[in-house]
Amino acid sequence: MQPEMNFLSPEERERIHNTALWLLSNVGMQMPSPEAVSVMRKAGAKIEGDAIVKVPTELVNQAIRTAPKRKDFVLYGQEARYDIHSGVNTPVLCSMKSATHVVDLETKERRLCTVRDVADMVCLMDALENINVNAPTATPQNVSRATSDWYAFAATLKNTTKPIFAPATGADCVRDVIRMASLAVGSEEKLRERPFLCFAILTRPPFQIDRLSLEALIELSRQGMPIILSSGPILGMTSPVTIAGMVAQVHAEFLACFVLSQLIGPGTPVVYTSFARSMDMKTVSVAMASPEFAILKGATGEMGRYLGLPVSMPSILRDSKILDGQAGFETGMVGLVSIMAADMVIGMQYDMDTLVDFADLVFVDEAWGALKRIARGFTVDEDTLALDTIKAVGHGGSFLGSSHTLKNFRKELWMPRLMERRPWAQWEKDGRKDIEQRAREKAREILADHQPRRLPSEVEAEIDRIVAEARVDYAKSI
Amino acid sequence: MSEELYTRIQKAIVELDEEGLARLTEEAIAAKVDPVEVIEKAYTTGIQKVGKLFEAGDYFLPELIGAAEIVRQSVAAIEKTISQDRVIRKGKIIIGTVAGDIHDIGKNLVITWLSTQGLEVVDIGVDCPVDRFIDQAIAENTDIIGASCLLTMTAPELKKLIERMKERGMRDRFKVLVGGAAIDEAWAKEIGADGFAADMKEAADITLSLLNGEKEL
Repeated sequence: MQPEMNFLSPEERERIHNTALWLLSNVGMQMPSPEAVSVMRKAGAKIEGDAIVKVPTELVNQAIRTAPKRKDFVLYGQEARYDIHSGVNTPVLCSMKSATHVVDLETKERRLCTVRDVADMVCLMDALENINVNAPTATPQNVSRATSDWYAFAATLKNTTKPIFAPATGADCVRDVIRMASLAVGSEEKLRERPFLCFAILTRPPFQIDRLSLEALIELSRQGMPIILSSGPILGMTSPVTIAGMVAQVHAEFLACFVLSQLIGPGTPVVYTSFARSMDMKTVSVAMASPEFAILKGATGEMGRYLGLPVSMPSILRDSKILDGQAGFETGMVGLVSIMAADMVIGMQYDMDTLVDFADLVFVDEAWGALKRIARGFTVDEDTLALDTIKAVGHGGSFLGSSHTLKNFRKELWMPRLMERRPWAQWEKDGRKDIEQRAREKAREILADHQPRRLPSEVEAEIDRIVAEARVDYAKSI
Repeated sequence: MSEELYTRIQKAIVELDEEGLARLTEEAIAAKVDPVEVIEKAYTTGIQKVGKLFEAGDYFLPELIGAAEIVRQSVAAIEKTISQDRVIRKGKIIIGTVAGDIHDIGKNLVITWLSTQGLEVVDIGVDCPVDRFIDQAIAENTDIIGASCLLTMTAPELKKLIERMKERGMRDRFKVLVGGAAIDEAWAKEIGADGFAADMKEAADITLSLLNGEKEL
């Protein structure tokens, strides 16, 4: 069987769900968009005060019925070999978006991200085997800030054929991203046949969602594009400090937006997510690699499974500043809980998700391989019990030369490519390199070698034109 | 014709195709190809390719051992068809684990790897008193004595081996290669061994260079 990790009993999941339903119909969600309010009202929600939408349980149940279940969720690649079928070839690893800084590959200095960095990191992740979904892991800071997400997406699209976790800064951004993606695959019809994009929509806890996000949610639902929907409060800041209360709140906020998406576009794929975090009460930093963060991934993941939905979780976002011992521990600790909880894990950043290191992408690719091995568990059957082999090898014999070993070792044992397992003397002879040095060298090698698919120059020019013409009005978001 | 057969044999070895290799070996015997040439150009070359894949990290231990085993079977079948004095080896080495130590995993790996490098290897087992190393080396007329120890407390046995060789006037007749987790290069040098190997690949490299008369320590 596959191993499981539960923080909630079935009764507790039920109780949290019922608490969320109560919160939805009694506290409600503030949805500052006339269209959202109108759609919800028509469907039977009660509207009060300043766009406070109180959602009846019936609408939640209806949304659960129309949304694709976990087993039916597919995220396509631009090439079929990168297709992700939830529950079949999951869990998968995806890059988080929107950091602002990078660790320079050569100088190791922390500096602002450029468009070139986005292209390079996407190219690196295009080559890394365990990274299944690509993304503009950082947003370029050397272009117009208002439209930096357009630049980020364009640089991503030009350098990968994997599925893309795309920005959704309002409805205009969503529309332009879809236009650019359609150009890459030839037409909008082709994109709709095999949508290779997913978008994150984040609520603004407690019980709000900003207008730009709401409009993006509406646009995505209209277009039937996969939505990674998250409520990510901070314990004791934007939610109760108690984990149970936060999980109920997260679940309620998710359900409110989920209902809206299914009313606008019944059958729109929605992935259950929560960027629930804790806060360090001394430094006032948001902690994304705390033990509570890990528990929250597990517990909210269980609530997503309770609804039968595909689950994605932000994780492997290190509080450490560099790829060091703390980062390694945080990667393993939070990563392990998350991989048990989710079909997709989104991460690979540092310092409150503001910083990305080229070397770290290579490191996490490796770590993810090991985590996946744990999540896969092991099979008990006639062949794996190996009775005949045990008999044949006999007392004091060696299994190394047996055909059973030869036949099974590659699937049973995870083989590292970056971790050091050789004896001290060999490691010393090779320059006593630690994981960060080895990962950095590997990143350089890959970037020197890897050639991602190139789009025809006229397609690239068309994409660049969409970017140049992009306009966004942030004032509308407030 | 022969060249094409050699290529197919190499391919079967690299692909660990036991049945295919057995068929090709029969074919080679039936075709009366030159046994010495086929061993060198087909089997040794084939296993060296596997060794390279192992070093590159594309192949792993069970594949190396598996390939070595099918090659060993085939070469034994071919050697049956020729007179012993025509069997050409690069050199001969006996290997054992020292007295008081029954660890043989490392030793066996070294043996497997050495035997893929065109060397004749004689395994004298575990818990070997120093005289057994010397007696067996004389009896087998080897070039090199290989001695392994995993436990710190058995490391002095290596020193004893070299001293005993001197007592018996055999120190110059055989080169001594030592290895094992309990010792390092400095210790090997201190006791006056000719070579130290940290792993099986190094064991093969050093064996070959010792056979070429190069000084290792």
